[in-house]
Amino acid sequence: MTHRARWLILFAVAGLIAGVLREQVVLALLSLSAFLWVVIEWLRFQARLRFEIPHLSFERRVNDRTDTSGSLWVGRTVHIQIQLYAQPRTLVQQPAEKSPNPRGLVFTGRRMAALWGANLRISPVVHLRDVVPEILEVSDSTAVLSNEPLSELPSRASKPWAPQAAPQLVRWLLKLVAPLARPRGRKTKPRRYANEWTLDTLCSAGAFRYEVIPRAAGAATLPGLRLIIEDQCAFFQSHRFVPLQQTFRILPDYFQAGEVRPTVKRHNSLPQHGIHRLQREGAGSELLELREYVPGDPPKSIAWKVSARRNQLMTRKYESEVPVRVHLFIDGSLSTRSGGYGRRLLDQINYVAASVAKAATASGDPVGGMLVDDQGVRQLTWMTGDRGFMQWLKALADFAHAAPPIATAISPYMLRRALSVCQERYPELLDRRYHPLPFLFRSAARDRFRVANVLAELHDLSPADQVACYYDDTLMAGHLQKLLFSAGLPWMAPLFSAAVDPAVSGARSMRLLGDAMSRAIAHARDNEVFVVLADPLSCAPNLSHLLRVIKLALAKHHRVAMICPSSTFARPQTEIIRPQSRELADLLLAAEQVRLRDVAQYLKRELVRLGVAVSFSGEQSAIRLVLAEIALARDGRTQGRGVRA
Amino acid sequence: MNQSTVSSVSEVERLESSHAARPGMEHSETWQALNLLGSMIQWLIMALMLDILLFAGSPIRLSVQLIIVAVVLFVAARWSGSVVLVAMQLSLFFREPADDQMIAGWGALLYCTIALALIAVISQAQSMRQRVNGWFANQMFELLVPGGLRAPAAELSYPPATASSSATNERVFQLVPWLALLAAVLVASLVMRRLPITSGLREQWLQYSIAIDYVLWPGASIIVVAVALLVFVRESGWRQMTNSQAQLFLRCSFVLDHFHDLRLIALRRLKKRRGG
Repeated sequence: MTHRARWLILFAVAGLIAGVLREQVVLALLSLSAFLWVVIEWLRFQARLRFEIPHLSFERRVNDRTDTSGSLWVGRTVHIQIQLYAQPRTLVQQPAEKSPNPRGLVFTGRRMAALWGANLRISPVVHLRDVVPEILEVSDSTAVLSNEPLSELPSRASKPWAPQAAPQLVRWLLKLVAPLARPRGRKTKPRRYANEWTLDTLCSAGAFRYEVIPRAAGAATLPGLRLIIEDQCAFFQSHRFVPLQQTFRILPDYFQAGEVRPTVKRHNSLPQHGIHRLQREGAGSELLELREYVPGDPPKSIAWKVSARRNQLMTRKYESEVPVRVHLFIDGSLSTRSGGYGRRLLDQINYVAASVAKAATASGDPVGGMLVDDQGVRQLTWMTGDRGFMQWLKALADFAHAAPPIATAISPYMLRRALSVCQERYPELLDRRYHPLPFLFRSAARDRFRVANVLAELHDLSPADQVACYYDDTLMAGHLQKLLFSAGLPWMAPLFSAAVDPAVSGARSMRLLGDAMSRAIAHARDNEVFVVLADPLSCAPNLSHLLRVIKLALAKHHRVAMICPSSTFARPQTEIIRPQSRELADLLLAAEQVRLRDVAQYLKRELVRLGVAVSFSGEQSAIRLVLAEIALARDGRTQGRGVRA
Repeated sequence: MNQSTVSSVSEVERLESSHAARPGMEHSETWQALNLLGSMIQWLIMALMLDILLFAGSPIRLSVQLIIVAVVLFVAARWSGSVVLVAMQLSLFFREPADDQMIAGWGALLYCTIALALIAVISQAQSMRQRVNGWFANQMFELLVPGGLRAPAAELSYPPATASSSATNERVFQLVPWLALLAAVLVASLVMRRLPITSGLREQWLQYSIAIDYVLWPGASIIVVAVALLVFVRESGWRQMTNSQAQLFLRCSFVLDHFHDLRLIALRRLKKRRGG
């Protein structure tokens, strides 16, 4: 029951009492009628909940597909369509036909006839909201609301219409009110979100469509639809959640570097795809050099003509033909995962890694990698070709979707957010009728008890653990975090509060990264490129181990590139940084930029001294830098021909 | 079987495409003007009805009446239709003469029906006004341009996904709220005739009760019916629960019954952990 109904009942009862006491028959009758009207509306509403709502059937189409899982891409628009039907019980009870989605419905003519015969309707008012996780950004500008009333249609009039056939009085009236009707000066209703829809007319089916754009790589679960059913006078409301789960892996976006093969013919023989001629001694087919014969050289390598001219035995040495293997070392430590989707360092790292992998696989070079985070190291096998590239992207997406370290403290914001998640996804469980609680004076305690009850039901806790959640902050925080993470919240408050020092976590991560790299060096062949995508800026003093390993790699004639994305999405500034204002936020931002600049300068000096290519951004310049290193590794030169980014 | 019925999906797509094409878009400004005109007419009619209901036969000056009506409608539009009920109750409270018979005539029934209808209209003003506006604008277009914009306008006035060919059925469905309202007034008048609210009826009721063993009629019956209703409501409430709701209810009931013991266990564990 809403406040409207409560107020109406209150006034009706008051009027009835007054009418009976003062013997005013119309007053009493009006008040009693109003009261009975609310009662009849309640009965109608209950009947609707009992007989109409269970017949509703929903279907979600994501990019015109009803599959329960699939893949999406970061930054690419996803079209989502929600369809709603009133379906007779006989059809509900029929076994599902061979449909790609068992929840979905395939309406044949016979079914529609049955539907028509059953005269099922969807009564107004039903508010629908497709619950969208934070990793998907709802695009407002492209919303299509199918049943948007005509009075709210956007005005795109080319020229005003003059009804010549209309009577003079009507024309005069229209002329009078036309300026008031222009949308420019008209106060309109606040715009709804595109993933919301209100069904306010009687119908038997409906649909609405909206668009989302994935913000970052990872996983997105569209859990279902939130329904608010109310009667036409808004006296009663019922909140429901219709599970309609579809889970998608979100693959990272990548930069298409273009054709990487040379267009000018430089050699007589072209090696096969993925094999590059290294200008070092090997068993290739192209001549590298001629040198004097040394006992032990194979006789077939003696250059007889040259030996005859010089009157001295000469030996031919051939170039080596090797594949260029690209190792990607990806840091998934705490500091790279913190922040909102699309703004994390890991998102920049994924972008660079995917772009490098794309360019390498397009050239036939195998790509391998190590995914390093606080949990440990995961090694990816060598992958080539388009299939290998897709496997790489999937691995990156899965790596980006990781549960945060377990929270140990609970904050009021965390509890509030968990309550709102429960209200959105489990409104039926939050109903107070199903929560007999001990007497509690404070409303915050009541909220905590209710959320703990819902969590106990969802996570199947024992009664002792359920009561422990009432009092134990650590236990409750863990379960709250589990709930919030399943709701798709990023690693930031309230899901995650950085209780762990990022420097400590970063140092551990750098050590793991160094270990992984030394293992890779031990198994490396001739000519490999090591690309380290990490956040050393948060733990610059703890890089000694990693620097030693990098030295080792360089000593073994491998190429090393280091990409250090920054939180500002741009390179650290070199000029003098001044705060924009004296506000605390601006001062903190300026201080952070100064710190970043100093650390970046120190790191750059150290790494360039070693001969490592460094980039402090996650942009296309960083990708080009890595591709330049790969190009150098392909032809065995030690320095690039042009300017390096 | 209705031949015009089509698959819902194709219906949606077809109507969406027609929505996008919209042959009447170039007239949208006029369309909006017609909507606004319709809205103004609706408010004028409501104001007129409210004025009649509140001040029929009243010596209050017309300007004061209009101001009061405007204030009531403004608050009602912003908040709730309850304000209209309060205004009418106040009007009746001060103007209606007392009647010891308390028998409602046809005039009272008509008054109550119109008053409740007005409250209902104002309560569902938003959606209903839009529907009426759409209908009004359609009719105006039909009147002004015979055969010109009738088809697209009529199609657009319904939500695109509606299988709207069975207009008769829909009209019957739309009548149900008003029939409910009429039923409320009729039941109220019947109840008022039966309830002992006048001195005469109260006297009859007491005499009847004394005649049947000095027990207030229908006291015992009411208790039996109330208990039966309570059992029925609880049982139906339990059966309407979903599985998870029932589990939650049982879990919380168990926890509540053993709350003190479980609380002691939880606090002891917590204390032990903090101490250790």
